[in-house]
Amino acid sequence: MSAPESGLSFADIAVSLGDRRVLRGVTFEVRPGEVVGLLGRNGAGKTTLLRLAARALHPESGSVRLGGRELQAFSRRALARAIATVAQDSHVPFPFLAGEIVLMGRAPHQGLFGFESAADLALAGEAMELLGIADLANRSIFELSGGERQLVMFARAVAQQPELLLLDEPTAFLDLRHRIDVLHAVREFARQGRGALVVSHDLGLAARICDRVVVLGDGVVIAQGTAAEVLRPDVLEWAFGIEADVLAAPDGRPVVVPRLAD
Amino acid sequence: MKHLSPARFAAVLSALLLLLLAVVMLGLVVGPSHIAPAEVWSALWAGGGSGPLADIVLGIRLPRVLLAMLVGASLSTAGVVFQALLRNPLADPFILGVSGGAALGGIAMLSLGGALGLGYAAVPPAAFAGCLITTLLLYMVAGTGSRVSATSLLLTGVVFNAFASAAIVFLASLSGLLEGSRIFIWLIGNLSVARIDLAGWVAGFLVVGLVAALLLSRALNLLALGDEAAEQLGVAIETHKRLLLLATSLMVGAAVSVSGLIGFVGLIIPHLLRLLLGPDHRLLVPAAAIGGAAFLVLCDTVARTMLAGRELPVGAITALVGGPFFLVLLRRSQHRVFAPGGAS
Repeated sequence: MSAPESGLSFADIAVSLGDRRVLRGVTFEVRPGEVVGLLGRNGAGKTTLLRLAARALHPESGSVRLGGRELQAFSRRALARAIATVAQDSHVPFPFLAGEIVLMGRAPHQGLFGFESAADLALAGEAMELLGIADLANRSIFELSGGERQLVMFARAVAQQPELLLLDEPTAFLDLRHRIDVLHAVREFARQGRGALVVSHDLGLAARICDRVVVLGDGVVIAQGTAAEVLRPDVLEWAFGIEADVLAAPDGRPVVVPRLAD
Repeated sequence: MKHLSPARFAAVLSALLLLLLAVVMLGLVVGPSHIAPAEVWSALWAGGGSGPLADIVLGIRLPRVLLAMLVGASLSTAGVVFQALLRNPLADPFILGVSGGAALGGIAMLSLGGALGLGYAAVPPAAFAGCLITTLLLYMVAGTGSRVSATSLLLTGVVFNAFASAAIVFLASLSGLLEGSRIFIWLIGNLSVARIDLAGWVAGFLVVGLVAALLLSRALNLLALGDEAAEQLGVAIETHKRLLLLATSLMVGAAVSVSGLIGFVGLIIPHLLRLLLGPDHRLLVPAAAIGGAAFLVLCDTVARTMLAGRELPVGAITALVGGPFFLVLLRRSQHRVFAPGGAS
C-alpha cells in the first residue's frame, strides 16, 4: 500500500445543494496507479463528488486532498497541472481542429501567450495515439461524431499530463471499438503511476478496468472494494434497486446481467 | 499535426498588412479628384507637403483613412472577443446592442456635458462607460452560465438597440442636436464628420484593448471550451472575463464616439478570417484587427465615391453588406446554435 499522503483522498465529506444533503461522511481515496470506479444511481452524488475533486465545488465539511495537500492550497495552474477532467458534454462553438483541442491540454504548462513547443506537439501526438485517434488530428471538430469528440476531449486531458484523471461517463456515446480504446487508455494511464476516478453507469466497464469501485447511494458510500467484492446481487439491489445475476468472466472478473422484472 | 507555428503567424499577418497597405493607398488615391499613387507617395514621404494635392492627401484623406483603420480594427477585434466570451459566432458589438449603449453614453455626454463644462473630449470616456454598462446588462439579462442562450442574446441585443435609438433621439431632441441631422451620424455611422481631434483617444483605447485581447488570446481559445473546462485548464475565468469586457468596451466606446453606429464589421471580418485561418485566437485577434482596418477603409472609400458629389454614410454600406451576411450565417448555424445540445 502506498504512503497515505499520495493520491487523492476524500475525508468525511459533506455537501448540501440547497436544502438537500447530497453527500455525507464520504471517505475514500484514489491511490497513484489506481483506477477507481464511482457507481450509483442517478442523483446518488457521483457527479458532485467529481466536481469536488475538480475543485468546481467546495465541501461543507471534510477535506479533499491531493498528495496530502488540501485542494484549496493549490494555485489554479498548479491544480490544472495535477488534475484533468473529461466532462460528459463538450460543446465547442468554433471549428477547431481536433489536434488544436488536444494541444489546449498543454495550456497549464505554457506561458500566457506563445507557441507550442516541440515537446507539446509530441505529447499531444502521443495522447492521440493512445486513444486511437491520431488520424483525426487535422479534422475539424465539427466534422466528428459525438463519440469521436469525446475521445478528443479525453486526449486533451491526457496531454495535460495530470497526476489524476477525472472521467464522467467516458464511454457514454462510444461504439464498442472506441469503448475498448478508452478502457485501454485509462489502464495505460494508470500503468504510468497516475490515478483515475471514473463515474460510470456501465458496470461492465467498471468490472473490467477498475482496481476498486465505490458505490454511492443517497449520498453515502454503501460499498467499496474490488469489483468482485462489491458487484454482488445484494449490493446491486441496494444501490440500483435491481435484481441481477452476477456471472464470472474467464478471468474471474464479475459480469452483471440484470434481470427484467416480470 | 497542424498548429500555429511562428512562421505561419508571421506570414499571415504580413500578408494582411500588405493588403491593408494596398487598401490604404486606394483610399488615398481615389476621391473626387484622382491623385496618382506616385503623387500620394511623394506627398507622404518625399516632403512634398505643400500644394493642393498634398493638402488633399495629408489634410483630408489621410486623417479619414486613419480613423477608418482605427474604428475598423476596434470593431472587428471587439467582435472576435465577444464571440469567444459568449461562445457564439453571431455576436457583434452592434448586434448585441453594446454599440448602441456606447452611442447613448456619448450622446448623453454631448447633451449634458456642456452644462457640466466638459468638452467633446469627455465623449469617448462616456461612450466607454455606456458600452460597459450595456455589456454588464447584457450578461445579467441573457444569463452568465457557460451556455448563454443564442436566442435570448440576440433578442436582448434587438431590444437594447431599439431602446438606445429611442433614448438617443429623445436626448438629441432635448438638446437641439436633431437640427441639421447631426443625430444621423450617431444612428448610421459616418466618418465624414469624424472628429480627427479624437483620433488620439481612439488610438489609445484601441491599443490598450488590443494588447489585452492579444495577451489573453490563448485564454480565449480555452474559454471556447466552456467556463468549467477553461478553469480546469488553469484560466482565471472571472478575472479574464472582466479584463476582456473592459477591453471590448474601450474599443467599442472609442470607435462609436468618433463614428457613431457602424454595424456588422465585428461579424463579417472575424467570420471570413475564421473560415480562412481557423479559429485559433492567437492568430485571429491580430488578423481581425488588421482585416477590420482594411475592410472599413475600403467601405469608407466606397461610401465617399459611389455617388458623384455626395457621400453615403459608411454605416449604411456595412449594414447593406452585413445584414444579408448575418441572415445567411444565422440560417447556416441554426442547426448548431438552436438545436438541443447546441449553444441554446
